[in-house]
Amino acid sequence: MGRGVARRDELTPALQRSRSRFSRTRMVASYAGVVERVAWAGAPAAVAGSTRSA
Amino acid sequence: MVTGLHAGGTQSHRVLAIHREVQRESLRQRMVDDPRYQALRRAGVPVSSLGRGWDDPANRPFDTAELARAARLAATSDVILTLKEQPLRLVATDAFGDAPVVACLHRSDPEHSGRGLADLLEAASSGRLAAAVCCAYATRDAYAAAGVPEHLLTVVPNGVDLLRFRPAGRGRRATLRVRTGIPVDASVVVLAARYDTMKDVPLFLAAARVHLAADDGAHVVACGAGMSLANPGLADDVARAFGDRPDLLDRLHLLGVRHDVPSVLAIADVVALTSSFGEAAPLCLIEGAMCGAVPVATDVGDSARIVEGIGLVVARDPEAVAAGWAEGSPGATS
Repeated sequence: MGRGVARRDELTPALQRSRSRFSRTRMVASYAGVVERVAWAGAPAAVAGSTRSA
Repeated sequence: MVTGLHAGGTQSHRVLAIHREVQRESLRQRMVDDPRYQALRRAGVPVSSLGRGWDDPANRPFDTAELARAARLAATSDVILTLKEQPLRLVATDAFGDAPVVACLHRSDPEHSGRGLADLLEAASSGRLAAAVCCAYATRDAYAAAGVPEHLLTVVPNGVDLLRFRPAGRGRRATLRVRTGIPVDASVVVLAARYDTMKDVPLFLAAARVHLAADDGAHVVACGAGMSLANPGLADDVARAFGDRPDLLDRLHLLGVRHDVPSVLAIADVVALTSSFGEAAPLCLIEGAMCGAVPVATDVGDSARIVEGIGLVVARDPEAVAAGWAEGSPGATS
């Protein structure tokens, strides 16, 4: 072993710090926002307004 | 993603599949046996299908019974989500009324989806398409270039379940390696991908040939549909790549389909991707990185963006790929 330049030691801490960036929870929240936006835009204005204020 | 949306409590989701079974590695796989189906059911998401078999031609027109079944589901839906473009052919029928449509796009080569791109453009021009969610910036750019209006394209970068994909402890990692026939102290490269032209499996194998010859403590693993010697295409590729060094094949592990992908990735020091086209935001890179492996990828789709700061981008050349794997492996010299 040992023919490459050592990069693993510098990359591993960065990997650990990056976890939230790749979170499924973040992805689902963003998707939920798109679906809500489309649902509201597609609803009749009066209904959308009254429901939003509820 | 649907299980997450449904579990959030503010949205209620149901899933309609066009096929009740598909063919994978010469085997028929029933929808009800698929882990994703089972995860949806566990989350309380109703799942039904139009009942098409694995050998039903994808372009067969929908019959009256199929349209009636779709119409019953569509009638009570506020928003229709489609997984990729293919279901748009069904959504465009009168059965689906006029509920707004959100297409979920997962590739960066829209021209390789059959009539899917034409269906997507038609949905956009008719006003039926309310949004297209792209899992990668490369996806957004490719579909915009193909004519989808930019205001409809939204990027939601891929994410993974951080509880499933996490580094294994030393003991579990050792156990998993032994179960796979790999020494505990080996350096391990894993490719998790189906056997597909876009994955450039010949490049992967050529790099494996270089890597295994240069490092007698290295092992290379591949898992995914078609990634076993039962696949004649892969067997031919392996014979070509290792014809002069069959002795190296003891350290090449071709596992085929695995339903415990987190366990396979947990043994990796490096997670590899050698694709040549078509990728968007490859989940295997993200999943492998979250399991503690250094991602080493060719520059395709959003791969370079994903591995920035946490991994390496390599040229599509066996020596360059193998050098990247060596850099990401433990025991490399400085």
